[in-house]
Amino acid sequence: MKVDVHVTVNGRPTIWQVEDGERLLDTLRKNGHTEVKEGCGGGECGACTVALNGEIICSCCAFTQQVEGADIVTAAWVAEHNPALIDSLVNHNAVQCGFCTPGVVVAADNLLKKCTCNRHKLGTKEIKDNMEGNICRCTGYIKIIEAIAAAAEEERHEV
Amino acid sequence: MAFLRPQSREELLNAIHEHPGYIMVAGATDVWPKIRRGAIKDADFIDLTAMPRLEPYCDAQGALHLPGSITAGRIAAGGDKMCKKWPLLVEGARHVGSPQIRNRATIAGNICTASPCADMTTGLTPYNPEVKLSSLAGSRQLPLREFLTGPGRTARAADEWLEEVILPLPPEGVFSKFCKTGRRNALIIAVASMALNILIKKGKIEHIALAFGSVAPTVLRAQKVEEFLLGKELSAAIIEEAAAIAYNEVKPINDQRATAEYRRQVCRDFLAAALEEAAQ
Repeated sequence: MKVDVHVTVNGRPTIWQVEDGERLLDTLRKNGHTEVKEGCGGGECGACTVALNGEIICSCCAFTQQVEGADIVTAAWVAEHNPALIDSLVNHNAVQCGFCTPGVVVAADNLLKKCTCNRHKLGTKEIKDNMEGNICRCTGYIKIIEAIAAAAEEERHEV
Repeated sequence: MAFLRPQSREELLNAIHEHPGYIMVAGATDVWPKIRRGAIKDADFIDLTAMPRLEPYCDAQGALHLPGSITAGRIAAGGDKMCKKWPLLVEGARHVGSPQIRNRATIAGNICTASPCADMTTGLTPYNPEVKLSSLAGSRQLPLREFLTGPGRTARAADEWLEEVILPLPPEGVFSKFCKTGRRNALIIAVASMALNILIKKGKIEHIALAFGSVAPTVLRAQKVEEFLLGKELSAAIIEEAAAIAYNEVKPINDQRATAEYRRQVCRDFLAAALEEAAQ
């Protein structure tokens, strides 16, 4: 049976028609959001990370019907609205094969938003703790962590 | 396949009464991996996430009532009172999965999955918690240790819903310690974990509650260690003896994550280190 699910994706109100029990990740990709990647499919690698009502989740571990009425943000929105973070990732060579990047981008943007709210300096430990759900098999993480720290500093000086 | 989304407690209780075979789902962080590896096939679901969001509260006796739907992330964020009075609960929640998983995974899911290595369940156990199970016939309260009957098995009837987890107030001045070891920090299933509450007054152990995770068919309450330590004064010799009892009391298995022998040693060393810290 098809059901209607009302969501706002990257600022745009949308109605999805989905099958009972469909996975959020599949619905997103079917509806053109192919920036959301499937890695492990088991909630471990974070490649499919999206922000749901301001909290990051693995879209491979959610039923689409569960997000009725929700606000969803993917990497495409972050690329448009937080170019400083994207530039910082590029400038620090924090992108290699790129498969984990859309998830990293969403998780990092979410973290930066939280720390702008609190106006405090973002330490390496806090970055590591908040990024622990995003696995990257290329960079060894150091470049990703440095890129996020630099983006946070830049944002702090602007505020 | 059916996917029901009850909007209220009444609708939910009716739904599980009519469809006791349906799987209850909230965060789905355990359900989806199971679907993916074929452990759940052609299932129907009752989704709990359309229900009103409930907040934790303390009753007149000071006991903490957590709605089953509260996420690990909410608990991990603590809030002053929770951090101060029930730190093992908060620590346990912080060890669950990753931020993505913690934002979805609920305490009821962690308990009902009944994994011997559930981090939140290990953290809860020293507080002698009770679970409140509700069905159309009414509600009943059960100690957590009676609720967990084996790996993946609980005393929950098919038409019952884990509505609340109730944590009594621990004694004033209690020392708490949570330890976990695994191959990395995030997203790791514990090789072994320990949660300890101990109260020392005038040199003597007045209260002790000790739980181990990943070393028995369920999260284990180490009663032999507790009985040995209660009323004693902590000394190097007593600590060594207590650690040796823990080594023998846990019932671990060999698996892909660690050997049984290694797990015994970890439990022994966790306890010895925690008791030394408590003695200071």
